[in-house]
Amino acid sequence: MNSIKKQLETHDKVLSVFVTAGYPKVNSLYEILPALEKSGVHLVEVGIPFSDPLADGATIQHTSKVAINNGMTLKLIFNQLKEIIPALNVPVILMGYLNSVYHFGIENFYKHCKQVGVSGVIIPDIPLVELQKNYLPFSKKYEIPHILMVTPTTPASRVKQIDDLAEGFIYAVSNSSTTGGDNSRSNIDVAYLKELQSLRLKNDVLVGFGINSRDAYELACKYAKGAIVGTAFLKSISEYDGNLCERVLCFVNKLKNR
Amino acid sequence: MTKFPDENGYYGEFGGAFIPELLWANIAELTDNYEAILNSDSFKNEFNELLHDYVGRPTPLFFAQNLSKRYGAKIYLKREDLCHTGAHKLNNVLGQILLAKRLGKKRIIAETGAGQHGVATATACALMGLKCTVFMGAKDAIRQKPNILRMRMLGAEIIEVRSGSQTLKDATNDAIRYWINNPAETHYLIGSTIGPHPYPDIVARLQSVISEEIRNQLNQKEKTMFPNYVIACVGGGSNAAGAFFHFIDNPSVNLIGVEAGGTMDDASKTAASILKGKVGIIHGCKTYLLQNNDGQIIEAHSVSAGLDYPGIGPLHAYLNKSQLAKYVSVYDEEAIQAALLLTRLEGIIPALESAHAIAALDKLKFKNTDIVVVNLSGRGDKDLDTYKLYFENDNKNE
Repeated sequence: MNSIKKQLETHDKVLSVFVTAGYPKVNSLYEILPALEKSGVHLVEVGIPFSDPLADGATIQHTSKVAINNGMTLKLIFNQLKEIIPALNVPVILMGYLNSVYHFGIENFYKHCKQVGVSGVIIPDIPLVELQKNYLPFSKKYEIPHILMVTPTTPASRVKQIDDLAEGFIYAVSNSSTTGGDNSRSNIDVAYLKELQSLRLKNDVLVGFGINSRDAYELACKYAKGAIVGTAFLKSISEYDGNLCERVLCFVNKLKNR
Repeated sequence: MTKFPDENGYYGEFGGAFIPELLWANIAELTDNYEAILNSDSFKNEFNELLHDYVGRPTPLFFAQNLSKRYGAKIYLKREDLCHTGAHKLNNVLGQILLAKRLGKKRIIAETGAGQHGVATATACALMGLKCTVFMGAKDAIRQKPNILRMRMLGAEIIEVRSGSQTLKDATNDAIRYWINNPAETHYLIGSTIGPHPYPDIVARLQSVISEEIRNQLNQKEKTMFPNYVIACVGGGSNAAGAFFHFIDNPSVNLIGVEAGGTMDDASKTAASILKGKVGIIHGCKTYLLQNNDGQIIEAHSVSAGLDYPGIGPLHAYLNKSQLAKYVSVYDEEAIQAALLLTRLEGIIPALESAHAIAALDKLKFKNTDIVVVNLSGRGDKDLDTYKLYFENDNKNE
């Protein structure tokens, strides 16, 4: 069983937090990842900054731009994770756009994921036909599972197909929006989450995009295994010149109402 | 496979639909319906009537006597600059709007670089009574003020994009994001042979009216349907795809795509994606693109706002790799000089994009009997400020 599934099996109300590598400073992952683990987050997603992040809103685009300007590269992310992951228990998921992976070399990417201890990958812009043909063979060879997305407009038959190909969890986009949308509790599409429940998928479902409050997190947990928080977290650490570790703990505690 | 993509939208290794799941339903709706709609009699009749009565087609195929003398070949200009709104863009826009209406869409969004596609879209939306939102990079908006005014007069909402490099690539990103956030009633009207499948195919088919007319007009003027050369500029590649389309399967026709080489003194300031780029994924398709050593897409540069896009349509990537077409590049200065040449020799002020195609005449060797068609994709009024700047700088240097 892969480490992501193991984590999902042993915890309820799973919380996954996304952070852009190289933001706010080029070496910030060294502080942020241990702090996230300490705060009780169950999964962490490390974003590969990309110049043209289509599915993301203004905040993640901004953090990506800052990170690129800070000198962050995919090679440097692997170098940093190689040092950070051995001291962590929380699984690390790498998330990025396909051009970064393609440019790095497809097999080389999965090989590096394996070498540094990455537990899974999310690449939102791979078509399923490409995934099956050119990416899953390496994903299987190096045992790096793919987490795949579904949205409220994904038909049930396609959700089943995606569930068959995914390993780890299904990333359910909360509604039709880019990341960082203003999802108050009422904007989460409960009917769609209920429909996903009724499909009895082999993978657990985590809800992402626009989860920015304790209420939204709790609601997502009511109808899914847990939730993913990105933009709200990045906003909380943006341009913060105090103790980053304290800031991370404070954010997670607030979200979990501790 | 030559000019049509395979069932998954690939031209050889290029193309495809590299989109987040968020756009899957929109793209699936288009993919499932576009061929049947484009091939239906009702679509064809309405489209052809609009092309004839509104766009002003067929555009003339003009024998350029003075250019012909200069280059020692029979040079014809396909006058897309005489289309309503001043460029080939309206062919594609009207076709896609008819397609969008048949899909029940109420709002059109578009990205624009030089403003020609934005103006064409605003024009057709006014005609068809659809809401129109145009995304334009803030830097391009400064370069193309007359087109901003035109779009506003036509009732379009202009969103100036201030993210990234503030040019066409970022306008495209923001248009796609808007589409993700407003999927149901919106049609994203892509202006070139780029984007996820089926856009490159849709745009190439709609622009293929250009090569169809060239074939018929040459038949009347030269008693042959096939020229020796067809030359067209490429940014995303829509006018070139249209000018090449009916000749792609005929190896006797030399197809020449002209990329914007950018500045002579700085090799990094270029928009030549085929000649200087590497294979990657941009805006939903796999193609050649300008990128750095870490796979970050870099800002393209051209004196022409319409050509400074860091990628190239996947059909062109395929034509290049399979050597069915040849691609050359032309520097900014060469394009300006070519524009001046055409203006003085033939009395036609070309768009800066089209001036690149004219400049390529200097890079080719012709026989006296060669029939050469240059696709004059647009007219130059919109570029007068840029021309003026160059002439002022030239005068200072003298």
